[in-house]
Amino acid sequence: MERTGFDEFVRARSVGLLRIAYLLTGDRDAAEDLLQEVLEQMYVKWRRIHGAPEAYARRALVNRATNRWRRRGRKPETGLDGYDVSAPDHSDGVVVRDTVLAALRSLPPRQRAAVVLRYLDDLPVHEVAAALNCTAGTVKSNAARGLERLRAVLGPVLVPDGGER
Amino acid sequence: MTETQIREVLDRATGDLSVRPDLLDRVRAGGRRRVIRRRAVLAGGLAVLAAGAAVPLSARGRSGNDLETAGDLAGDPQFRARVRAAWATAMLGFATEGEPLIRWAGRTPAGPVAVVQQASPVAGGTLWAEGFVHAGRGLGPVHLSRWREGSPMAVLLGPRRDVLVVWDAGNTVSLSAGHTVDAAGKVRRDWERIGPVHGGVLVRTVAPQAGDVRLGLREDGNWDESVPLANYEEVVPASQENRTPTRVERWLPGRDRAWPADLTQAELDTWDLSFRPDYNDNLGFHPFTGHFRWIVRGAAPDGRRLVVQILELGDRRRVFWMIGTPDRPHYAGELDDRYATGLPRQTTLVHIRLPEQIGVLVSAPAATLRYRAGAGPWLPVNGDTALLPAAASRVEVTPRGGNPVPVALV
Repeated sequence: MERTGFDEFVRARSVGLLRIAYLLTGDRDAAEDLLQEVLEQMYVKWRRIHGAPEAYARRALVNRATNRWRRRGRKPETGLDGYDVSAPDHSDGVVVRDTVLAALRSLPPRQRAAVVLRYLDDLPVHEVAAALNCTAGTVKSNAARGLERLRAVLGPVLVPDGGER
Repeated sequence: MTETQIREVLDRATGDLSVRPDLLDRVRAGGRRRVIRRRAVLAGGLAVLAAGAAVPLSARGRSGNDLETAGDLAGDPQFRARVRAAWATAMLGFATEGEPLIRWAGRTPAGPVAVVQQASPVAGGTLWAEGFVHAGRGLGPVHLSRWREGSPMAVLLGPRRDVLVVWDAGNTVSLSAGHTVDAAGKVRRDWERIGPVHGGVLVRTVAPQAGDVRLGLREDGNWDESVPLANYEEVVPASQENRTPTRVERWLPGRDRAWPADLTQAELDTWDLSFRPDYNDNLGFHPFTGHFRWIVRGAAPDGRRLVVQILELGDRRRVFWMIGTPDRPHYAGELDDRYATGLPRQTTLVHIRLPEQIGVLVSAPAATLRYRAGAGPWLPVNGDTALLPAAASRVEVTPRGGNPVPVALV
């Protein structure tokens, strides 16, 4: 079967999709596994999806990431209560990354996905809704709640005193 | 923090990511394996289904605007209005383009049904959502049954799920009423070509499928593809369970003797029955309750290659082994008390006595094992999976965080 454009799509978009997967899963290895699973799925279905592969990839990433969370066996997500908000070194990218990942892990999966797609990928609301299979209103409320929690967690850590909130 | 600052920290947190250089090669290799192992693809498709998937308009090669409605209710304005209303409700929150297209509207033994499609613009293209709208018995409220990507697609309706509605989308589609497992452990199906039909929709009364879908649907093409059941999770509620996935993939000591280091993936795959369509029911429907994979590779004492594999088929798990050649897999029957013992802490010991005095394969993921032969001393086992000597008569399993449990090896 002809898969015109598949290789080019993978080369051009795999880094961007890996970034989404990374923030959805919070784990580098899991993100790579997730991305490979989705790309393999797309390889098989390329004839039907190659008109809008990016949208398909986002939807598949979110679905599979959500299924992974469900399969954890209802283990509670890391809560905010135990979150360490000690001030990091702002020049340390590792600290930023770990802080962001920890903050995202504190969000329910749908809020997490809404925030990642809306603010990392800068998608319009209706495209986030398509990826999450929900209404535009639900996306807005999930993104707003997620954003509020991220601000609460990240604000004291990443924004210098006096910085804009 | 402003939204801009949120964007910046998300960007910084992921800024140093890069993909492995061999990603494309691995994806292509994995994709080719998935083409064969359609079951895994079906599982992924079901996950997508739940999200309300769609297919690209451009991929379908037509605009659809000039398409007319087929079916015996095509001229019923009241029904069409109800279908459009139900569809609009289901599409709330999605960007849509133009009016929904009712491709087919007609009566079925389970009530009126319509096949609907609608374009949904996204960045870089246009998606094409499609699905069934089912009015139920006695012209009850119209509701969207399910919708998903791809064509063809099918839905099972009626309280006993015995009314099959297939949208063939102009493709050749075949139906299998059921499957059997033969003495070799292979899945057998007989196929009947049912499409394409005029109007695109075929309605067939089938044996009740509620809770256990026995039928199979196949789209015939360059290779056989399964046809998705749009409401599979409603027909088989067990498919919505989220069991912990089983993954046991082990190499036994002695690998170097039988398996050369430069063995290609393709050759390795010939020793994996999950890649063979006649062992996996790729075109049937089975509950997806987590990825199941159980395969142990190693060598027999005389150096021949040895593979022991458990293949899942719905609730059935079939035990196979291959010794020396992948051409004649031995089917040892279903996994039952002969081969598996449940232990505390959700641990299961698999114990399979192999022929020709090859030994006893034991495996208990994440557990500590030791064994003895008759009244001999307890001997340690390296790892949680091992090929014990044929003389082994007992194995002691210590689940992680648990107490030792002795198990007799028959």
